[in-house]
Amino acid sequence: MMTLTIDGKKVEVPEGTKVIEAAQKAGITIPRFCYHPALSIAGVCRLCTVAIEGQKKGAISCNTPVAEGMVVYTNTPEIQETRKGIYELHMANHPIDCPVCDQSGECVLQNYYMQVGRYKSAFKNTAEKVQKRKVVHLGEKIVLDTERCILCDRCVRFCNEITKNYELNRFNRGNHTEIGTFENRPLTGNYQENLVDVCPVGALLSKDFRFKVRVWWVEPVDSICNQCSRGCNIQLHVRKKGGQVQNTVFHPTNEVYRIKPRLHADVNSYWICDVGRYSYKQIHTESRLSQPLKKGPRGLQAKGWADAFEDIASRMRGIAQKSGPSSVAALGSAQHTNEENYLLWRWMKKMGTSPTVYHRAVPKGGRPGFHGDVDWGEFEDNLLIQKDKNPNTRGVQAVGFHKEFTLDGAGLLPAIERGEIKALYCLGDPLRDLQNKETFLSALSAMERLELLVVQDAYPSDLASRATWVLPGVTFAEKEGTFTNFQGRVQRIRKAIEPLGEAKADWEILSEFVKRFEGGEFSSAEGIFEALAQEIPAFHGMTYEMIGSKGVMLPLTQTLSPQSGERAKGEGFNP
Amino acid sequence: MEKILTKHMDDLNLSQIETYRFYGGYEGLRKALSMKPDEIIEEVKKSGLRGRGGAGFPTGMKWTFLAKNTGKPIYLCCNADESEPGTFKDRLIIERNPHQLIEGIAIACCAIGAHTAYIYIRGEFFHGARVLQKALDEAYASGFLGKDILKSGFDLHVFLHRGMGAYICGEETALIQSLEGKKGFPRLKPPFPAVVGLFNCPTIVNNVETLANLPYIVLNGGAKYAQFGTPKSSGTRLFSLSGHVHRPGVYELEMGTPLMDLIEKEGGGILKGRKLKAVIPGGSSVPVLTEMEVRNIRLDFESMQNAGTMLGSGGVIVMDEATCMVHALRVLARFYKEESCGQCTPCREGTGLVLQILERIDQGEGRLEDIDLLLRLSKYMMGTTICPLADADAMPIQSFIAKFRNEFEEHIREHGCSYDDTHD
Repeated sequence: MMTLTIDGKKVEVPEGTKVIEAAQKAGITIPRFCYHPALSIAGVCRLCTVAIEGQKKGAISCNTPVAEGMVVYTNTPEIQETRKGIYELHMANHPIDCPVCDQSGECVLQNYYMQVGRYKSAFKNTAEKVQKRKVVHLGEKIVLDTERCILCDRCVRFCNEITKNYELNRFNRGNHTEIGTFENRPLTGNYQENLVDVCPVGALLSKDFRFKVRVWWVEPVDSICNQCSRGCNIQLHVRKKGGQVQNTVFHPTNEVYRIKPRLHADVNSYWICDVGRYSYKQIHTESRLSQPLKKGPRGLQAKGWADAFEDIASRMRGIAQKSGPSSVAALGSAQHTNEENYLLWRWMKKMGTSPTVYHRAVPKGGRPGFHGDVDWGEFEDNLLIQKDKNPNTRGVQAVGFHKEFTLDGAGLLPAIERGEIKALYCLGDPLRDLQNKETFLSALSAMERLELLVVQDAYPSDLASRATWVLPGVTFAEKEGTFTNFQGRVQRIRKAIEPLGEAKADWEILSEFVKRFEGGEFSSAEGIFEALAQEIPAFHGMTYEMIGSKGVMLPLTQTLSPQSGERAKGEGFNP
Repeated sequence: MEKILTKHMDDLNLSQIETYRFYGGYEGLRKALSMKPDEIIEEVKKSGLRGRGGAGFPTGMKWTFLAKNTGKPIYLCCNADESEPGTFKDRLIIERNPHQLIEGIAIACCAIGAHTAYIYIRGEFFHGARVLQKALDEAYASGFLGKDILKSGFDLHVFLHRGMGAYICGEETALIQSLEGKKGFPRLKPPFPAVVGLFNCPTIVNNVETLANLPYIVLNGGAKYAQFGTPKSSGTRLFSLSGHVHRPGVYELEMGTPLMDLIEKEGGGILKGRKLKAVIPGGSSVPVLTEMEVRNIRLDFESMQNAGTMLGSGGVIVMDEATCMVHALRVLARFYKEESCGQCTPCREGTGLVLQILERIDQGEGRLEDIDLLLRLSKYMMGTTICPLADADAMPIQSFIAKFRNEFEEHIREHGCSYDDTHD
């Protein structure tokens, strides 16, 4: 460990730490463009220059290792002057087109201008500025404006060091230097949108997000990505219902506008994949279930919730009484939260049966933004994307569902065929990933033998269309709860928007049944989690408070030390 | 004075190995092979030899910075990417006395324990590259290079690598990047090349002239070499004299020789009987000297430093009284703008803006505030970048304006230049 003094504050850091990081630890954020905690040091923006006692010249704090007894000043008048000068040079050839730039509002260049700049520019004549390429399409996801670019090199380093596809580079030299791809080839891969995050200015922009909404009209809601078992920490950027009301025609409220990664050093670092990023499209798709449906003579018909609860509860009771509790079955889901699976398990216990089967069914086929040589369901890489595309496989198993619904439904389908099981409550659609037509059809026909089939799901499906009752659940953006990722880390999702139509949060639907079977009353996901933590050994002792923003590992042997996963190395994105 | 580098250059066959050996060539290498590496380094330290590329760093000390026991090979890079405006001394050695360079390289490799050396030669030196390659082939054929040289058990391979014409590749870390096949971007330091250099191995980069001095030092001893010149600037040096003199060219002079001797005695004085106006004494990157300052200055590191300039690469650019200093600075600024690699913001943007402003002053469209703007920009560029290219642009700007401010003001005031006849 080494002790140094930064702006009068003593700070102790391990040997080899760079001054910029040590300052961060002391609570001092040194302005920077090119430094990014997850990337190598480029040392080109020079903005992080500090004064070190005993050195004549200023030193860039990103590449200066700490030394015992070092005395650093980050804000002397000379340093402020230097910084202002370097800043002015960054802006000299910048087009300053903030009003039409999508980065506006979250642009580091803009923020620093307000903090350290605010000078009268000596280089305001746009005709004298260096003209470079604008609107360069780098494939289907990213668009580049080389005039806005401040050549911090972060994107180049991201490609070289994180995705290792070496796609971006600097071209030309001097003040004609531009970022680009060789021969203007399109960018490839599943991590392109992270380039937009690492870009501190509006040079690399997301084609998916740009021109949709000004960033100050959306607010972030912390959540967890549900596209695979990695459980990447994300932020949903939403316009909340009843929030700032401005231009609701072009920018409707109660809508998720984009997904951004949230730093978690042990899960996803600063990154998420493009599939996760585009997954908000699944929230606002046309085909969602928005009201309870009951099978009638002319197919499924819309009904009220009261009807649904009453009818399902009494039928369940009837079947259990007539044919015994074992004729009632329920199917847990790795797509649903710990709380929801727990409620289902608790309800079934109360009815006298013990559910053991869960499913991991995710739809086959591609995904928006997905680049791969195999189906999304089979795809994995060595960066983030896990083979298991369910956000809560570890969780549903830990709750008590330990048999996976496979081709024969883990014995469930034969039992239905034999008439041993007469009522089935499905969380989600277990047949969604069956591609083999024959198996799929035989499973469907088995399901049709049931006296009562309830499907609780956010999306319509072939199975739902054959159900006695279809209960509209919601997507992960519309409810509270926890997912347990592939590492066994329990992490919280949060409600960002109101449920669609009459749809209800899945835990709300299930708690209604639990209540009707005198299994207790729950008014919040947190309350359910408390009960879960008491009853299920793997979750013993956990609370939402402990989970916090960094999660808790399962089984609970240790809580995360405050440092691991904390934003020790920088403040969020565009640090 | 004994000449060290140009002694036999009048013999046009010196580039042939037989001729070089006739004058006692490769005896230094033979001696070096019989010495311990530390002994060679000690002799070089004793000689006081300082790098001839521009910075003037003591060569012996540079060698001792090499990372020890890394388990990695050590490389020597010979910097033959001579591109500093006003400098053309390495070219002379390469074209006329290549074997002395090769011998110097071999001696340096013995000293630092390198078995592979690269000569990074400026792309435009077509002829030089041809001569040097032929000399290398001869040295291999005669057993001075290759496996087991002179039956000493020491292996050494030397490769000639031609650059593609970027000034920045003369900066040692950019040179290393370029050798590795990458774009010639100077690397962030630390780590220095002596620790992490070529192919991430410990590397020494030495200038052509520096290396060519080694045979003499090894053969005659460091003390003998140190007798030439001044205590802090030992030896002789090649000065590239250019500009408004009668006999421009490369002259080998003892360090500490008065600058006027070079201009008057060697260069034959100023052209057309005009008066001297200014001299850039160490390649285009160093601060300019006025006629008054030139009168009493000597060609050594300390004198130049005392006068606020540098000996640099020894490129002496002489300007007569008919020279427009604004235009001269504009020409320099254009060079640096073209050659900025574009990595660091102060250099990338600064060099371009400076040229833009100088162009408008030179064309009579300058604004009153432009002079202060130039000074402000040069301050932002000074010492704020990875490599010294921005400094190399800033130093002339600051010194030209400090010493010839009236000319800049006149250009702005009169909307033009009164030295029009020299603009060609």
